[in-house]
Amino acid sequence: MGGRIAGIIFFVFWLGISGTVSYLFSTGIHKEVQNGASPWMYAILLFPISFVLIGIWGMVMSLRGGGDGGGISSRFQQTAKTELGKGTSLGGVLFGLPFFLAGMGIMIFMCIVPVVKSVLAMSWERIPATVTESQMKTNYDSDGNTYKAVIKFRYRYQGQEYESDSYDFISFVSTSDRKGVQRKLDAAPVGSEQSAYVNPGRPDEAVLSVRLSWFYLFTFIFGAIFAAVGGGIIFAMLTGFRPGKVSKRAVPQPRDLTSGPVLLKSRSGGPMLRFVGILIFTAIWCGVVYLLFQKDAPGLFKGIFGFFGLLMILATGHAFLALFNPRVRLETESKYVPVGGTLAVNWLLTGNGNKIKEFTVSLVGQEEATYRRGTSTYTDRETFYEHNLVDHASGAVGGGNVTLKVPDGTMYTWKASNNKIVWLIKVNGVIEKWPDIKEEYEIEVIPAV
Amino acid sequence: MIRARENPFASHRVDALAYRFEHGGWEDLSARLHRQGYRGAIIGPYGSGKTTLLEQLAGRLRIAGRESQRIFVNAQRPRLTASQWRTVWRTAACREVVLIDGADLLPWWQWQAVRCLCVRSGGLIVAAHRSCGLPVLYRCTSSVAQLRQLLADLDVPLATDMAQLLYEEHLGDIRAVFRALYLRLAAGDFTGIAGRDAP
Amino acid sequence: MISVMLEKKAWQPKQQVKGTVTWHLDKPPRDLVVRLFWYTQGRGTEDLEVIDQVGVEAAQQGQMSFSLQLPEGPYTFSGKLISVIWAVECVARPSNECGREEFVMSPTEKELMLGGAA
Repeated sequence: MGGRIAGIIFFVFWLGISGTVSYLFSTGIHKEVQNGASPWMYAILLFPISFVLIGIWGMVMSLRGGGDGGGISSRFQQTAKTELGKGTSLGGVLFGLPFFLAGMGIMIFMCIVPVVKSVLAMSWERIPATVTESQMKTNYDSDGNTYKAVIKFRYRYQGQEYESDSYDFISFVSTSDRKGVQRKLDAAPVGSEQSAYVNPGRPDEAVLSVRLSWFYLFTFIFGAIFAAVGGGIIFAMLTGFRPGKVSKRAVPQPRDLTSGPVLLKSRSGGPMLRFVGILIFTAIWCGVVYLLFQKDAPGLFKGIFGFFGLLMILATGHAFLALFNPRVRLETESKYVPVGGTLAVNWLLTGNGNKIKEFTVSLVGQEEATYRRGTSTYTDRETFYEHNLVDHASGAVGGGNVTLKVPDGTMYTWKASNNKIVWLIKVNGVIEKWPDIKEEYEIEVIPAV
Repeated sequence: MIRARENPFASHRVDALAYRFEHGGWEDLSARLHRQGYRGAIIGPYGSGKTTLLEQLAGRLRIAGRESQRIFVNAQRPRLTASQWRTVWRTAACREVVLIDGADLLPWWQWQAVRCLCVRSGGLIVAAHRSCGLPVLYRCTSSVAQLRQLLADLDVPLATDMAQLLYEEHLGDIRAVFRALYLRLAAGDFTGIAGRDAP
Repeated sequence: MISVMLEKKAWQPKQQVKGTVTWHLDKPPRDLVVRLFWYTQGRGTEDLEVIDQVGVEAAQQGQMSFSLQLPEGPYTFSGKLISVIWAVECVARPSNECGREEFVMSPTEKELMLGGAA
């Protein structure tokens, strides 16, 4: 319970911050677009919005909570219950906290705050200003030099003269991007006349530029990665460990055999979900790689990140091609079938079924035994029953229906902690020069009525 | 083909095997344990009997009047749960011996925390692939001779050359050999098992 | 010495398992319990579940009839990897002395054989 409350509090803060950032980004980007910037800038909103989505997901998971990991103790597993306890780890929270705080600090002070100030400053008064100093300050370091633009300007507001050294709201940050710093200095040489934005409430506060630059995006991503890593560790620790559900009484209660058509879900997950997940990760990774190349990062850094970026692109391509595989849709007339009973199965192949050379649909009964010894776990599977329901040697296969019969005198679907009896409908389709179709759909066989 | 319960390599039979020492014995081990203040590491490669030895050591400690608690660290989730942390705390507070199987899988900071907690415990004995900073209590090794002895304990007269072949194929991992033999017998393959008819 | 005798060796799901437990111990136990349970043997780590149990008068010796309720399953079966075995056991504490009797539980009152196991 404590973990769930902590998770809710954590994601309230997460949603608050990510929602605020999304709002501020949208306001600032809207103004920029109105001032002539490309409408493509709206795409930047995808990043803060993704954090809002993560926050919503986290809130839902925290509110849903999870069951306790009760388990059946084996006589030889004296500490089985110890292993399966719900877990929190203060040490893990402390470990993740610096990452989270560092990431949030970077996001807040190097992106959110300057962006907020820039957006607010867009409505300040604009008055003429003269640049009095414009030079590059270099910090020499064995890890690499950093540079900062020192630009001072003088202006007069309501009869009073002021001087400011804030070119923009991020000018206090040193960066390794020498060219970017030089561009700022070239735009504001000594003696040049500029337009300054002056805070009417505090006339001593003024800046020359309120532009939202790509630097803010880079720092946001950089900080977000750190915060996500640290936040992920903290979230995992706070919400605890949820072992796989083991029913204390793994015996099905009498079920309604006429429960209506049921669409079966593949055990291996959907290709679309896999593709989207890989695509998002690749996009973020490649974005970071691009910025690394832009910002003249050290070669080793660029090399490693670039190599993994290439691998991610290849994986994305593979996942993309898999989307065009013919897809199998299996529907049964009921959720359950008793031992010795029959079950009508409708199957449909969407996509280009002409590519399939061999196509089979089989009913399979399988033993699954997990052996845990020491630190290792092995799971062995043994098929004790297999019967082909559909067998097309070649040619186009569109769809059809078939009735499967569970043999008499066999064991129904049963699951314990380490041993299981499962019944599956296996679909196999051989496609030349393309990934084959290999899907498994679990059905529930219940005791004979 | 044989029933799962009748397979000589069923888990309950294999797990009940007594540890076979390659060198030394229980007296040597007990003496060393006593000298080291009941702190030490049982080390060895995969499938060399570390868990078995640790389990049987717990029994011996109980007979000698020293209670202990065993904690398993699984490779799939290499960290201690809150429940396990409580067990370590309670065991140390009661001056009992803490036994950890898979200590080398723990993150560095968790392992250091365990060592700190166990400073005042009755002892800390781990089974791992390396010593984790503790004095080595016993180094588990495996051999074909040991495999043959264990097969004799299981009443499985496997041919010598077959035992040698399997031992080499599985790189000395006796647990893997037993797993392979289980699956082989389950499939009805009794090759190399002298005078054994399928029940 | 503890012995468990069942009225028959095979039962069907949801029946009452009836039998008698007889015990003769060296000293009176702290407690004596008759348990109905199933367990697995085979390739995987053992699973076990106690379904029903009944306390017995903690005397040094005696005899008692019992009746324990069977659930719907799991059935007694054997495959290549898993066997499920049903049993009634009487355990005396703290000595842990016990007596056990196995039986078959299935709709056909015979052990189910999965696949090629025979």
